[in-house]
Amino acid sequence: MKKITGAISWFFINVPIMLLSITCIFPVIWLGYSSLKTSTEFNLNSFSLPSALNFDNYRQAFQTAKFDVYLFNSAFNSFISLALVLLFTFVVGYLLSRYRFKGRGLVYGVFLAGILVPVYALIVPMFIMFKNVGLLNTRITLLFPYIAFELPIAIFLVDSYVKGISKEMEDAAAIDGAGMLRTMFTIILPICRPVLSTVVILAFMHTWNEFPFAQMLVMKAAYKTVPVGLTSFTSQFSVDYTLLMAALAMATLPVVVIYILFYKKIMQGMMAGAVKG
Amino acid sequence: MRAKRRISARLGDILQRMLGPVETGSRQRLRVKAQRCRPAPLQPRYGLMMLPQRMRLMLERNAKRNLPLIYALIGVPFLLYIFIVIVPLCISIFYSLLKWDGIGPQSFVGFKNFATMLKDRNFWLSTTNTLIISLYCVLGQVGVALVISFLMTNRRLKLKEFHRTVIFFPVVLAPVVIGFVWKFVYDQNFGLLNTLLRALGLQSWIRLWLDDTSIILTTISIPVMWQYIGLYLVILMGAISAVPTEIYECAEIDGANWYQRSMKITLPMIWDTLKIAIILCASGTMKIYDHIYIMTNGGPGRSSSVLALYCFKTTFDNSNFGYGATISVMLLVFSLLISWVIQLLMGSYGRKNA
Repeated sequence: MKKITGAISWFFINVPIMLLSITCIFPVIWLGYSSLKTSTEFNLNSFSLPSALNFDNYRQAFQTAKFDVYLFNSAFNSFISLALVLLFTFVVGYLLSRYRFKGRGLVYGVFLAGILVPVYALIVPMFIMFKNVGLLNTRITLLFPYIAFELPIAIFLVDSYVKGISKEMEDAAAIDGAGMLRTMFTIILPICRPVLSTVVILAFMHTWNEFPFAQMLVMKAAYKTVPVGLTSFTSQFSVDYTLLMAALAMATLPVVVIYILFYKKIMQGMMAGAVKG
Repeated sequence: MRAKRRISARLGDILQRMLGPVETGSRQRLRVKAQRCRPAPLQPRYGLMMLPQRMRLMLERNAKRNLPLIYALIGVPFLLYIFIVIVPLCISIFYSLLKWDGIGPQSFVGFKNFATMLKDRNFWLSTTNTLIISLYCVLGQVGVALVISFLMTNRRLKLKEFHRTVIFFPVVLAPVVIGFVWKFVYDQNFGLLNTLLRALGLQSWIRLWLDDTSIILTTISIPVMWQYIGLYLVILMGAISAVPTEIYECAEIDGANWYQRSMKITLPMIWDTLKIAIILCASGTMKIYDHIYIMTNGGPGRSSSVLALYCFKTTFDNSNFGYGATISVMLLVFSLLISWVIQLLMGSYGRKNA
């Protein structure tokens, strides 16, 4: 009897979670292999595996749909904003946690309050502001919001990490004659590598996936990013599903690779960001 | 009295000998823990404490000399942040008092936009839709994540690490991609859902998932729920792993089963984290836009319109910038309000239980 109830509870615990796990991963796998089918094959049976590997969809996405432009723009935005986010958050986080100066409370408070601001409410006023300054539709338009939105949480991650480093090392460096900048970049920076890599990965995920700001602030086709580019696929090629799937697969691939490599770090970072917020 | 105590101590000894390793094991562990808790003996520190006075002065003077550099280094990101986040926040309040089409002259109309909003049926439809989706998402994301995180403490569940990694995976995907993928899932002809239903012989369940106004709010909530279950699962599992294992061991010795342990120990211990998770989820769903823009763009009709979508449509499609800014302000107000209400509700309930 006990064995039977045990088996039943094993079933009801394991099977639903297994089903959920499968639904979480299957759509992406389906996306991957469907993008290798031809349209006719896909229309016949949307479930089946492709009969032959067919990379025409990918070729077409680059040739006729200018997907390379979108990829380049997304990569450009991601890398430039990553570099600047890294620099800014490290410098500000370190200085805030180690130095006492006038206005420190203000800087701290503004960044802390910034976590609470729902950024979507800023799109309309930002559009108006950028329009007045002439910053709409340029190559660097999106860098401003992407860097700014990443700052608060990243700064607090760095700040709390630096607080955990003992001060003696910096004192020793100062006695040996190292200036502030030198101490910061040659002694603290290497120690902070774990938290900085978390910051970089999170910032990359956010920038690469961001949609509303990219959609509203950039209308010029030459500067559109991947998520916005995907929406233009449906209006232009409304029937070609396999082509769209190839584009979706390409948009997802970098994120998947990074997730597989760093999933522990991503979870930690998102958790810290969430609990702080 | 003293004799009694001696007897009980004796009894304890006998019991201990009879019960064997479980009791002694946990006792020993407790003893070890008690030793660990004792403060460490004071040791001489060779750090800044021991530096001669003159050297400390020198260090402080160095810090003073660096002050302009510090301001410069912090100033650049700080000003950027002010101009990108704080300034738009303030001017959105200013623009909400204007009537402006984005190009022509601006005229100051006071609170007229807010008055229009009160009578605007589409605004209230979008607001109720957003609130309903938020409710679904709190139940579907935090609720399901809570159940799964409880199951994760169950010994019968296998492959825990695998489940956690896989369930978290959709969190990192772009909402736009999720929207497209679910559009394929819901598609009436070749969609995965209808294909599956046909294969199972459940033809009567087949619907026009994204064109049926009676179920549209549920169908568009499911992808959002599905995407973020993993985030809350990881948050809650983090909180559960912080609960000291001794408590569970004691409860287990006292004969509490898994359900009782979850409800009486885990739930009260992670209450604060649960509160944060619910606030995060509700205020996060208030600004939902990407998924819905891709899947239905507010349709059919306006049945799946949400606040952010309505705001962008008023601003950019109808070029009504003043009114768009008004809705932005309301979006901000609603998200802050909803976090405050949840804080209030859950705070009092938690205190009563604890």
